[in-house]
This record gives sequence, structure tokens and C-alpha cells, in this order.
Amino acid sequence: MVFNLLGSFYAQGRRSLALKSPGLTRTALLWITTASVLGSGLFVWPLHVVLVAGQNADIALVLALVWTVVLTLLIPSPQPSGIWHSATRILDGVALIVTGAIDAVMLNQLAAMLQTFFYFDTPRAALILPLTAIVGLAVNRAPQTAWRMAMLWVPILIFGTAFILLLAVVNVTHLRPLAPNDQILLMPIFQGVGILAYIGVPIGTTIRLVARKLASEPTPAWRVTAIVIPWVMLAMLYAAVMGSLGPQALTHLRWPVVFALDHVTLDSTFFLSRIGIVVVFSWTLGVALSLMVHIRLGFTWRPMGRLTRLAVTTLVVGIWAIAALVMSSPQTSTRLLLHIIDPTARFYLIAELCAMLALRGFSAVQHRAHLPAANR
Amino acid sequence: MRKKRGKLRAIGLCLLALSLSGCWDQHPVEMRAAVAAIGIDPAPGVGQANYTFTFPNVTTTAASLATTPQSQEFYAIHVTAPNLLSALLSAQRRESRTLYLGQVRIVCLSSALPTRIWRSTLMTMADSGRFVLTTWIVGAPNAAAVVSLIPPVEVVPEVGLYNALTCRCQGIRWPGRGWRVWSEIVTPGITPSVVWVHPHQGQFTLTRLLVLRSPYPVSWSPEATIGWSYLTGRLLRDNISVTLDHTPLVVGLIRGRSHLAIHHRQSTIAASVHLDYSGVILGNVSGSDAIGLDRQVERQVANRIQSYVQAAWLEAQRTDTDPMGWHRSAIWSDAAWASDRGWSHWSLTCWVHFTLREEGVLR
Repeated sequence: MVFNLLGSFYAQGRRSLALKSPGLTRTALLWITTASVLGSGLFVWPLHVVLVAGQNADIALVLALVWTVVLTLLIPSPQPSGIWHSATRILDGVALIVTGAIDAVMLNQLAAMLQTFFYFDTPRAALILPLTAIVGLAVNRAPQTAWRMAMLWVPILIFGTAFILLLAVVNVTHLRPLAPNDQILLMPIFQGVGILAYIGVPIGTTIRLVARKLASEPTPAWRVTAIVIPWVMLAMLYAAVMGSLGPQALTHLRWPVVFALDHVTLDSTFFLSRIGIVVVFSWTLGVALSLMVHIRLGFTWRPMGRLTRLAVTTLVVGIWAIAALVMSSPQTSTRLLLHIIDPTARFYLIAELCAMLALRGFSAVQHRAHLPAANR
Repeated sequence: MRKKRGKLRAIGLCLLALSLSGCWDQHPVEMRAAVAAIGIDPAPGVGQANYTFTFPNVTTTAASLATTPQSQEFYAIHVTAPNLLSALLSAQRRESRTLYLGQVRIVCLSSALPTRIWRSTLMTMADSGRFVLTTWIVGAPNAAAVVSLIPPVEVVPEVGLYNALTCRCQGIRWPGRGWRVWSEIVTPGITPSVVWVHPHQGQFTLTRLLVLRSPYPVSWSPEATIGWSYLTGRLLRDNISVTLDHTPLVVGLIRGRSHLAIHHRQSTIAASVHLDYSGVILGNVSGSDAIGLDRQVERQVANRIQSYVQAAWLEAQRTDTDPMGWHRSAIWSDAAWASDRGWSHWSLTCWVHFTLREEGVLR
């Protein structure tokens, strides 16, 4: 049944690419946005948000969701022209650079996590280099490959994660920490929202750039759904961790989500006793898909020829691999993310919100000016 | 040109496949010595402990099982070391194959070991990353005896105690999964607890809770342990005997749930626990007023549960421990509550509601 369903997703992706090229279906927007956001959301945040906001981290999560939903609803449709077009282009360019930096951090975190939990003796380069090479090769195979990959694998990723979470429900024994504390202090919650900023950076850009490739303009409902899917997945992972470990034990771990999911046991089944391997698969897939989608978004941002694409991909992938290897430990990459990338992300998100608000205001004024005098 | 590119692709794919499989960590099973259980006992030297590692004998194949004597299914290595990691190194020096810690089923610590050794062992296991933390942590008077115990019904590489704790066939859902004990160690407001294993004549018995308070762990009485399981909802099935008009009756298959509510009042905490349990009379209540007699049975069982709960509450106060995690719940609902205030500020109200599901059937 599952395979049929997956097959239909894939077929749907192929059809939309083959018949209505270059138009993607609106379902593609959901999967591509999920791929773009989820890769950045797998590491760092639950720990550091809980470190500042404690049990009230879920309020921070909800606030971050509200922020990104507002942002998404403000994105103009159809695409603006003139000076606003250039302004949006600059915003997208900045977002892609910041996202690229986040990706390097995530690559480092992924490799360090795999080494800590699963591949103790495998050198880090042997984990990073093949992954980046595959990402580079896949993106350059054909212009649609990255989109098609996202449309095939993201549903699988969601099914896989849902499967693990379903099994993890047995371990969720503490429901009290899922509700906020009786002392709701605003500052720690805002700090938590600030830490979540790095997850929000790719959202606006992904929606703006993918919207250009869609056969029809995405309605606000589609855009909001595209945002809500990854946030709900992150919230469910958070609930699984908080409910099984509690807010104090969580802060003693570097990768609480992996820790919690690695200890889901299936003692009664004969052939699948530890599901840690599903976590390895999902996490690697999540990061690889997001890297792929981000490179592809770069090509949409600035269309280029085949050779230029190859050169740019090699450069980007090379920088990622070197950066991920140079950051010697996950502590270094976490510090880089929290102290340099995250403040930039916050600044960017505020700038993006202001720009979108101004654009909306401007187009409203323009619309009024174009109306016949009698209708005013 | 096209042929050349195809060859290059094939070579590239092979290289990728090789490196992606994580060859560095893949060793055939005959080159590995998978640790099945670890036992830790106190040793005479200062800061030293005796470590026992048991391994399944991999030369025992399916074909040779019938001929292998039971004593050869597992073998053990004994070392004395200051901590777990040194013990592992010492054990490795006596073993020709690589020690593998991904299959550890039981880690048994002696109840005579100070609690700080328990803590440091668990922390080492969690921090090193090489241990699988779904292992069971248990306590025993003599850890080496427990890990070398092979019940006659188990066949290598099954560890009997692990199966007993995992099968959900015990009357109590015992605590002690490695990751959970670790998380209780680092969480204020709960005294971590594990099951206390009593080895006796080649068998083991699980009746008591071993609570890891400082400086030494303390074992709860069997009565208090049952009370604890009623309070925490960890009771899977229980039998209680009652007498009705001088006729002994057994109420069996008792199961249910508990609900805890915590109310903060200035400097005190009022905990109220609602126990909602039900069971089956194994036998028939005969007489003119069967319903009235049923009510009598229910009342007697409820009183008995109350006495178990009373025993647990007194044991918690006597030993100044909280394996229920109520202090933790208090902290989670009120961030200002300090965990180290003991039981002196607590009051407990317990409502027991017991109903008979049905009567046994005379065949």
C-alpha cells in the first residue's frame, strides 16, 4: 500500500514535470519547502531553546511559527516588478548565502552525530565527502532532478519519521513538561524565538523562488500548509524528546532528538530490534535533500548555463565540505551558528518582514491610484 | 569518449558505495566479542571494583547447541579496575577479539557499591557513546552471580534476565532501562530506582525495588514495592486474597491506573492520588445477596491496596527517597519549588476505587 502511494507521488511528480514543464504542481511546493526547512531544523535548536526558555520552549516554537506564517502571507503574488523586484532579489540572495552557511554547520553536525552514535571509527571526511559529492552530482544531472528528488523522498521521510514517532509514543511518559510552566517569563521565550531564527531563513526565499516554477500561483492556503508541515514535524520531534526525557535531562545532551529516538526499542519483533538505523537514514536524507534544494534554489535565483551550473555547484559543495571539515568539533559549529549566523538570521528575518510589509503597503497605494476616480 | 565516461561513473559509484557503507565500523561477528552482561562488585582496594564481563560463546552454533554443555554457552572475564573504561581496557587485554558494546543486555551493580559509583558508571555509559542505553540496569547483592546466571530454559545468546524484564510478563513493569535511569540521575526531584535481583539456586527472583539514594542504595520492602507500583501505575497484574464469611477468596488479574494531582499551598504540597483498579474474583460468590457480597470483597481489596500504599509512603519517608518522582512533578508544575526539601512539607491523600470486573466461571 505504502509503495503504491509512494509510486503515485513519484508518478505525479514525473507527470507534472513532463507535461507542464517547467510548471510544478502545488503539491511540489509542500515537499520542496519541507525539504528546504527540515534539513536546518534537525540539529541544535531543541537543546538551545530549552536551555534558555526551559519548559516554555513550546511557546517559542509557536511564536516562531506565527512569525513565519505572517511572513509567508505577506509575500506578494504575483511577483512584483521594478524596484521591488530588485529588492526581493537582494533579499533572496542574502537568504541563500545565510542558508548556505547554515548548511555547512548542519553538514558538520550530521557527520559528528553519525560518528558519535553509529560510526565510531569512520573518519569524518569519509562521511562528508561522499554525501556532498552525491548532492553535487544529483543537482547537475538535469534541471528538474532536485525537485523530483524532493517530491519522491520528502513523503518517504515524513512517513519514516511518523513511523519512528509512533513507536516513540511508548516512551513519552511525562506529559507535564509539554505544557508551559506556571512562570511565563517573556525574555527567555523571545531568546528562544531568536535561536529558532536560523530555521526560518530559507522559508520566504523557498516560497518566492519555487512559486516562479509552479504551473499556477500558490494560494495563501497552500503557502501556509507548506510552512506548517515542517514546523509540525519539528514540534512532534520536540514533543517526543520533552515527553520522554523532561526539560532537565534534555539539557545534558548534545543531540537530544537523536538520543530519544535511538532508544526506541522493538523488543517484540524478531528482525528489527533497534530502529536507530532509520534515524541515520532519515537524518542523512533530510540534510542531503535540503542541500540539494538549496543549490537548486540558487539556480532559480539566477538562471545559468550548464557549465556555469557545474562550476557553481563544485564551488559551493567544495566550500561546504571544507567548512564542515575545518569546523573541528560540533561545539565549534554550534557556537558559529549561535553567535554569528543566528544574529544575522534574526536581522534578515526582520528586514524581510519590513520589506514585505512595505511592498504590501506600496502595492495597496498603487492599486488605489490606478482605480478610476469614481470608485475612490 | 562515452565509454570512458561510463567507466569513470562506475568507478566513482563504487568508491561512493564503499565509503558510504562505513567500512571502518563493519567487522564480522567472529572478530568481535559482544559483551552480553556486565557485573560490578566492590573490591578490597580503595576506589577499585571487580568487573565481570560475560560473552556468548560464538563457537556455539545452531548445530552444536545440543552437544554444548550449558556451562559453556557463555564465558566470563573478571578484572579489577578503578572505573568502567579502565575495566574495558583490561578486559580487552585478555580477549583476542574486539570488545563490542552494542549488544549489552544487562548491567548489574552490587547494592553494596556506593551510589556515586552507580552514577559515574551510568554517566560513562551515556557519554562514551559506544554503549547501547536500552540495556537494563539492575541491582543485586552479588552482581557477578547474577551475570553468570544462566537459567536452564535460555539458549545462547539470550540473556534470561533481559527477557524477563522485557517480556511484560512480570506483575510489575520494573524500572531500569539504561537511558531512563541516566535521565533520572540528571533530573532533580526523583530518586532513580532499579529492580533488585535476588539470585538463588540457579534462578532469579524479582520482588524488590532498589532505590539509589546517597550515599548507598537502599532496597524497599516487597510490600512497599507493590505499593509503589500501585501509585505509579506500573502494576500489570496482582492477586489479593480476601476472606468472606471465613471462606478464602482470591481476587486476581488486578490492573488499573493511577492519577496524581499536586496542589501547591504556600510552603506545603498536597498530593492527591486517585487509584482506579479493577479485578476478577477467581471463584464464585454464592449466596442470596451476591451483589452485597461483591461490595464487601471490593471494600476488602481496596483496604488492602490502601495498606500497600501506606507501606510505600512510610518507606519513602523512612528512607527519604522519592522513586515515584513526585518532587519532579512539583518542580515541573512550579518552577520555584526546590527539590531538596524532603517529605516534611508533603501531605498525601489517596483514594482507592476498586471494582470487580466479573466473577470466575464454574466450569
